[in-house]
Amino acid sequence: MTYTLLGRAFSHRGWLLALPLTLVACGGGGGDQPETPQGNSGTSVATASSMSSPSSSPAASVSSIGSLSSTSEAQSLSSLAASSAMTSSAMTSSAISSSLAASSASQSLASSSAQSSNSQSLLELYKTTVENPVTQDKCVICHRAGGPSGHTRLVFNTGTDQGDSNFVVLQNFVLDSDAGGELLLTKVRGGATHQGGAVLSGSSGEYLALETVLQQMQGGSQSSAAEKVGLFDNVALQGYEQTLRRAALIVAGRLPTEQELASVNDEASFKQALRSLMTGSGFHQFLVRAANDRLLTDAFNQGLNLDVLEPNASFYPTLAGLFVTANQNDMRGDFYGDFYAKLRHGVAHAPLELIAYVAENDLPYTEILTANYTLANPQLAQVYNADLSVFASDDYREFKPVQNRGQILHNNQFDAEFIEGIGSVISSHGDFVAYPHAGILNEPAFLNRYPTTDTNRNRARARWAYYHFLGVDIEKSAARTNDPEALADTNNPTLNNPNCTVCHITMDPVAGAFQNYGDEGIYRNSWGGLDALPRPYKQDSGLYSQGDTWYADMLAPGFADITAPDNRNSLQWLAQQIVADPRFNQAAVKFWWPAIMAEDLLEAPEAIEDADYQDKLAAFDAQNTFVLDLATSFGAGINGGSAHNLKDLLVELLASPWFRASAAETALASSQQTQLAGIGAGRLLTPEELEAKTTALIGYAWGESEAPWLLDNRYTNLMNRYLIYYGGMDSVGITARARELNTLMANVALTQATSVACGAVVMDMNRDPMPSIFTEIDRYDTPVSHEAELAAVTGTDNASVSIAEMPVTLPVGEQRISVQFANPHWDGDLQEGTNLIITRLRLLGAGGSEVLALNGEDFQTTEGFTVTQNANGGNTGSRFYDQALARNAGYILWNGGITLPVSIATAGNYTLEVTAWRRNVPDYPVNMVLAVNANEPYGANQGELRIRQQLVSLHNRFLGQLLATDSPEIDASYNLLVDTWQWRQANMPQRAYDWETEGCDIPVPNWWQQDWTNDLADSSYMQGSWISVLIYLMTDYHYLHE
Amino acid sequence: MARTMKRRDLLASLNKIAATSALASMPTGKLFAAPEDYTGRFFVTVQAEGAWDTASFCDPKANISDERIINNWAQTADIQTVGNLRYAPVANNQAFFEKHYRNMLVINGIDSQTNSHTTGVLHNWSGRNSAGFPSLTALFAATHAPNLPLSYLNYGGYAETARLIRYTRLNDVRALLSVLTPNVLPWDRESTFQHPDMLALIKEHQQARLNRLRSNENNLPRTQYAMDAYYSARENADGLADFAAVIPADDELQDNRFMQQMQITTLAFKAGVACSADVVLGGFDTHSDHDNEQMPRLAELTTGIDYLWDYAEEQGIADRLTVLIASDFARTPWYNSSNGKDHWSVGSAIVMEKNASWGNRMVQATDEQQNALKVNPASLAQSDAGSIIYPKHIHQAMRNYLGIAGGAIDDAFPLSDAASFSFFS
Repeated sequence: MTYTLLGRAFSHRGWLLALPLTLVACGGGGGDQPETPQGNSGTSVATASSMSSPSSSPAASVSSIGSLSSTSEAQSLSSLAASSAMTSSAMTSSAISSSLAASSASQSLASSSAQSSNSQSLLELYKTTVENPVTQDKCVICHRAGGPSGHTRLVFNTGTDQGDSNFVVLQNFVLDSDAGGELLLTKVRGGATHQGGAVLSGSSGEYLALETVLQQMQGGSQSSAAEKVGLFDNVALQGYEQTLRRAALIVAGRLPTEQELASVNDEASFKQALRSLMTGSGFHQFLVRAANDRLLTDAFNQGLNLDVLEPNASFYPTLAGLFVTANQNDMRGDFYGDFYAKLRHGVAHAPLELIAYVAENDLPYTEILTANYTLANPQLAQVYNADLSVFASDDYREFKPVQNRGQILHNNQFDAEFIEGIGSVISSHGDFVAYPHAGILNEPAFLNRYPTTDTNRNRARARWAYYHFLGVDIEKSAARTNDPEALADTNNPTLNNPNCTVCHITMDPVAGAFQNYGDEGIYRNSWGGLDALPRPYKQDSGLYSQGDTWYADMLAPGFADITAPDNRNSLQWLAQQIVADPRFNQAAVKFWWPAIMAEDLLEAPEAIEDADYQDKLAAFDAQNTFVLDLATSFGAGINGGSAHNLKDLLVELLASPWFRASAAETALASSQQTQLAGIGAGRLLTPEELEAKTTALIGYAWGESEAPWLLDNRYTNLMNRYLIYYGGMDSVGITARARELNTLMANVALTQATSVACGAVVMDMNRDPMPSIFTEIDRYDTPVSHEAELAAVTGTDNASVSIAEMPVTLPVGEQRISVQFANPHWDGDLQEGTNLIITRLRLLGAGGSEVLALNGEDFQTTEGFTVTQNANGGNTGSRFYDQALARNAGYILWNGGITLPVSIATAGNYTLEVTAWRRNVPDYPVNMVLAVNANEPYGANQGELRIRQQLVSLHNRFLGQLLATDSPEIDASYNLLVDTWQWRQANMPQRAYDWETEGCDIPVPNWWQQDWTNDLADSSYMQGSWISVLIYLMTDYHYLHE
Repeated sequence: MARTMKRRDLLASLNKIAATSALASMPTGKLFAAPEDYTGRFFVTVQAEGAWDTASFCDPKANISDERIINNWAQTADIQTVGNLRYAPVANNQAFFEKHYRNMLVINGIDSQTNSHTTGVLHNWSGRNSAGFPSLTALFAATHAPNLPLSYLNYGGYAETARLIRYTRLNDVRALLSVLTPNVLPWDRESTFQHPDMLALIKEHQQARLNRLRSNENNLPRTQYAMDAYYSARENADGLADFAAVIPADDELQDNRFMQQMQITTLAFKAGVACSADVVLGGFDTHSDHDNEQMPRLAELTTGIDYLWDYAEEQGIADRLTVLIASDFARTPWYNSSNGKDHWSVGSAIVMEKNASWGNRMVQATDEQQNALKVNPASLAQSDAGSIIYPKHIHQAMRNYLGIAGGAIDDAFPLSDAASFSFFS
């Protein structure tokens, strides 16, 4: 492939070919802010002189580099003696003048001689450690005469053997202003609006060498490197298990399995486990969501008009035909509501699905730009005239790789009539376009998301291509002073005016590479189908020539200083250029960083006068170093893996301290506090992540229900009602996520918790065969229970009683035996309720001895007996005597329960035996709850121990906290449970919720029309108490943040 | 049976909390602190996104012979004046200026020093063109009423908070009611999910726990900030019920989204839950077909601002309201080949306040071709010895006027070398 060099060389960060030294005045735009209001420099040497102070000697204008005269050498040494700046016998005349200007001539020659050797060694140090690896390799690409930064105060000479002169240039810069060395060190790390970005990492050898030279140049001798505090010094990282949990929730939308947790025992297995998370629908959703957070193409599903595939248009005959048919059959509403809605989803998500496809199939990430295919759902594939047999169904959520062969050109073979109300009726057309796929770059959604105009000329597309795929924000290049008069320039300013070219020299060639795509993104949409140039330009500008595909008054399509070789496929060519650029790898890290960290990458600080500037610069530098290193590995293959593997990249992000930093081991210095802002744990879950977490934990999403009016037939409150309120985005008006909770968001979290807690507890407590949340207790364990058990009562009279036995271990002391009617039920048809009749109760010792033995009819005369009361103050039970059948005596419970005191003299194993029968509502089950309780909570009885175990489990699963049963936080949670339990006993009926004053949202359609007596019965008041605990946990900081 | 929680029960619960060993060091903050009773000013910025055409609005320009046409309307119409103000005779300008000129300060000739939208927005709404400074709205809220439940409302546009405060987005008023009253049943607003006393108990425990978490000296800065943010968010939540009480019925909500922003903002102010807001209107980036695209936006802008004042008056808060209206920058004083206007760095700002002593004032710092001119900071008259007006000057003056300047928050974000312009004297 032959590349043509453009007339002007430019590189944003210096990865382009260095051009031969150009000794002409800089007429191009600069990349840096001019530090002084000066004009363009001339030759490189003259530039050096122009940086001298006004008192510079006439010698400063000498424009050639030659050997020094003895006089000048003496002057030089004299100056060096006074300034701490060092020079050498090889200094230029101009340099000597500069040094003179910065020094006092009254210093002694002896002193200067003493430093002469130092100056010589400093020059040598510069030449051996800085000149080639820094100045020539990094700086001169922009900081050279005629280069993008040729108008600044720092203009080097390019080529070999320039060390002497460049040393002087550097020295002049450093000594010519206050803190010049500091400014330079800042700029090379990307600070102070350095338009070339960060070219050196603060921890790199090149940087340290430069720092050493500059310090010595300014009179210092000690490197401060040894004194620096590392960003993560004294910072603890999260362990493997906790990290795996967080990672699973974020990238897989689920909790890790026990097997996954057990598989981790070292760094290698940890990373393997992280990688193993990257499969399944949760990972797919993560990829699509994260990609959309950057590309924003889901906007077309959120109300943004999809012009590129508009049904009325006639570039896609299949689409036009379907629309015409629908209109002719009076099915327009169905067309828009079903087929077109699905098609729109297909278009909007195609670039996102392409990324997901590449990642999930371990394809090189470069394919996101170089793929010669697209991803389409069945509806889009149909419009693309692709093979539909690859789809298993017409599910609009299924995407497959296909090629777009559905577009035509509007040329002389095309004939169509637009009929109002019907659409475009196409009677003939030419061949379908072999769409020249260039990955995301010419995805219709990408092109349409950033539409262009006659004057914008694809610049927005270029800007975003740079931003997303090269990690370069061109707009930042314009963040400098503009002279309004300069803006009034009418001589094609984007090509000629430095105020404009600073951006446009970078942007316009790439804009040109998009030359074949019209305003909305349609391929060669102009009449004739030979280009996408606007009619006014072609007809009125006088610039257009037959066969042109790009504007004659703009830079040629290309990339940097290379011209695209073929206009027909310039975007495919651009894709190849971009993925070959090292910045593509860095852009990949930048693209995915927010998805993992929920923070944007740090920007280099700009205002050097800010008090925290150095701390911010250090943080940026550390982060940028990590990004550059990871990008390099990504390009080569991480840990020996294949090159450009996105899963490997994500693993490295998740395993990095940037994600895992969790706690300070010692008090952090204020500088480290500043640097660590936004790093590590404390990541607010997005609405999508929070919903996935809730679903993983309780089995359903808040407000989840069928929704025929939605494409996916699924409605949830977080996604469909409170998405924006909880910090989500719509990709149209709101394109950035909220990263911290405000009051309204806190209320959304509380609303979710209050809404789902009841349903979650009731569903889980009654889950068949086993609860998945409340695995350590059953619903009858209370803070006072030594043991509690449910028993079925099937007998219908004293002759067929049910006898329930419950073993229990009891301590010495006063206890209470409890029998509760577990599920009282009122039958509206029969107009009667179930009754429980207790005929006898015994507590037996280990050898079968009776500690307590009472007949039911004697309960209420036993000292210490209690029976529950209803809301009106009446007892819920009574002594029972059947007049017709005297032997059917006992104690009847309509609801509620009884307790009886018992004194235990010897600690040990006992058995509670309760004999009972039931009556009314035949076939309806009657259950009772047997329990032996302590008189007060906090007695370390079996119930408390189980509850604490359950709380430990809940803290682990819901909050990711690994706590002991006697830890302070478990104490606190237990206290809450006891408080609520006691309050409910005092104030509430024995139901999970009081339907007279409270509500419960159970995720079962029309559940209130079904019998939920057993499920909602709460004779022990524990379901209601656990509901409160669940609200507490689901609004916890650690529930909402990971 | 008693259905309400007794105070002594609550105290007993709290005593148990306090008895927990780990809670010994729990700070004794006001866990149920009621929102402060805010009686100060309200501040609204109106952000015209995309760069408005001031030459067709508050800095009208006539065409100049032998020069490119600045405005098509100027071919057939003249610049209008009312009081000391001038306006272009397009869109709804006449009605707007004639109604409000006494309450308007117009500053023409603000040089945003950029033609980049990103930088223009940054510069005009933060006061400098380097990232990191909070919006004026954030500064105002953080200074005057940081503890209001929704102190700083934002509907888009520039909203950097510099972690001084959180902003709140209110996009769907119809969904707002449930969020404002999180315990109320959506299907029966007379009932709650949890008994209110029970939920109050849970909240007490929640805040106590969060206080313990955020008291951990080992917290990293991000964690600490997030915990503190959540703590204050919950602590300030109780006042939201007052806001819920003034949310209008669906049929009383403004259909126009821009006007709805004004409506909800006014109601939030009235309810005492917010003190500052950024309202936004997009669509001003008219690179093509300028006249047909820009004029409707200008009309929508002035209609919305007019509604804000009328509604504020109706709700009884107009006397406490200050409004700042501006954009990214302005548009070229000529048309491009697509009949559009491109970016022009010299623009305008308007400050509005009812019965302001500085009303009916225009600072004119542009020439006939919309180039920036120097003005004397004291007299505000054009003067070659004066200074170009930059956004930092607007911000410094606004900070002074709004009572932000001089405080610790203001000190943390100093505007460099900002000469003091007497816009409000």
